[in-house]
Amino acid sequence: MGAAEVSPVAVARVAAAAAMRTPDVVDLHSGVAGEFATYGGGERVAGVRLRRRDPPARLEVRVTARYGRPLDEVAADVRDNVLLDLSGTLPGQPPATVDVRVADLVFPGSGDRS
Amino acid sequence: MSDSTTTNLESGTSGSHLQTERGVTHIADSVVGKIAALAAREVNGVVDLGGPAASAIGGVVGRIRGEEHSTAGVGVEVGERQAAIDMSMKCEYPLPLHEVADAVRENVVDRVESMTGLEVIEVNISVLDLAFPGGEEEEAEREAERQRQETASEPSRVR
Repeated sequence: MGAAEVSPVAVARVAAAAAMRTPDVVDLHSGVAGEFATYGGGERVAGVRLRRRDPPARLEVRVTARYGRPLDEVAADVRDNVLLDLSGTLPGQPPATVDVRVADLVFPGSGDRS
Repeated sequence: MSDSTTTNLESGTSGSHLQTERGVTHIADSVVGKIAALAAREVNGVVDLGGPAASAIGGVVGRIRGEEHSTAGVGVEVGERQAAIDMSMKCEYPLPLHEVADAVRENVVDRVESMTGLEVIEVNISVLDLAFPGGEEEEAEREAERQRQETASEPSRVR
């Protein structure tokens, strides 16, 4: 094995940052109990999970979006950003697919952050 | 989830931009519910969503803060590329209820489809209650007037 092994947490952290800089993404969503996350080395990256037990690796990102733009567009932008950043920063290990789940919606100007 | 949503949602993967070679997009039930609730409330004649507690379709989001975006009275089933929606509501008397319901259906389908990319295959609407405009206020006013008159007509105890 010559390839450098990149930890799931490192992959997840890059993906989380890429998702967060997508317009109309308010936050990452880690589920009702905060369980949806990537864990490793005592760290936790909320809202991102890497599945690479069965190759090819799949990445799932869950976000809270702001009401306004069509959500399928927002999700597509999240996917683009995540794939772009992963191929840029983690050469040799790009997950083949990124599943995006719009898990919650907030309305501009309301305190609704449920 | 409501029992009345019995439609089988197609789970095919063709012809939708929600399923791509680079990954799947999923829109949560609660998100579709919020969009549908907002669209329904915009329609003239819809006073509130939900209805008498016992018969209302339960909200899909349990942790909503603020009435404005509450999804009580909205039930949603989301498949890979289709959604079915059940709504219960209180409408304003004496507007024709079927026309209010048609308008709600149209606005909900329009909004959910354009906002999510999902195809809305049905919107089932239950009108569970009626609101009579000014009813409660007028009642309260009459009551107040009656009390004022009673007070006025009582003979004064002091001179």
